[in-house]
Amino acid sequence: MSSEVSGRVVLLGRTHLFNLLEPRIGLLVAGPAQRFQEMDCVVDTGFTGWLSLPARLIRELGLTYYGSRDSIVADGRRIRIETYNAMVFWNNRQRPILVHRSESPRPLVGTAMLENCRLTIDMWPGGPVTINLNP
Amino acid sequence: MHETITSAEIEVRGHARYLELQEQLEADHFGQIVVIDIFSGDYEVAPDDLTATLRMFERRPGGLTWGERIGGGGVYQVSERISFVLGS
Repeated sequence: MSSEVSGRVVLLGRTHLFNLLEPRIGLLVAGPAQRFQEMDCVVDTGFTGWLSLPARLIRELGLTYYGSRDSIVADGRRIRIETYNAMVFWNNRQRPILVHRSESPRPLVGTAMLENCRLTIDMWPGGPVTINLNP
Repeated sequence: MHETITSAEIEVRGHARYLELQEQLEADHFGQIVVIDIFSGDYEVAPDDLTATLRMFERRPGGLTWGERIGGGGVYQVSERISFVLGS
């Protein structure tokens, strides 16, 4: 029984000053058909929800549309974000979460998913990303 | 039926209902999340969106909901990368 989720820091590119780095983890996500798919997700601590997915993956999973939520972007703009239901396999059990549609091509895991966990990132290319689910 | 309702319309209908409930909601539940079924006007309040939403869909399966933070402030904060999106 694993009480840890792990991943790696991916090198996206370089500028003359710094590397563009992205911490990622694998997450098992399912829709109403209960077929879990592993998704390579970016850990986005600027996002206070559970998970965002691109429209393509929302369609593939067959997620049910629940409506829209008033939200605030980092730059202060107000937006509506479309909301769906999903299940994740997390801490050895299935649990319901809300998913939001995003134009980001890659799924984003937010801080609601990380609540009560310990997140550690070694922020260099290939560095380990670890989420301890029962710290 | 749902496909024809845009998220802008969901906001218009949902927020109109919020304004009807505003005084009572802000007196009793300031800072919590309200999730409003836009067809019936029924609503659920909880400290988080997931709890309120799941309760609402237990009562009204197949509905469509608008959610906002009571007193303002947004249900979620999102980073630029999620949002470059969603202007709609």
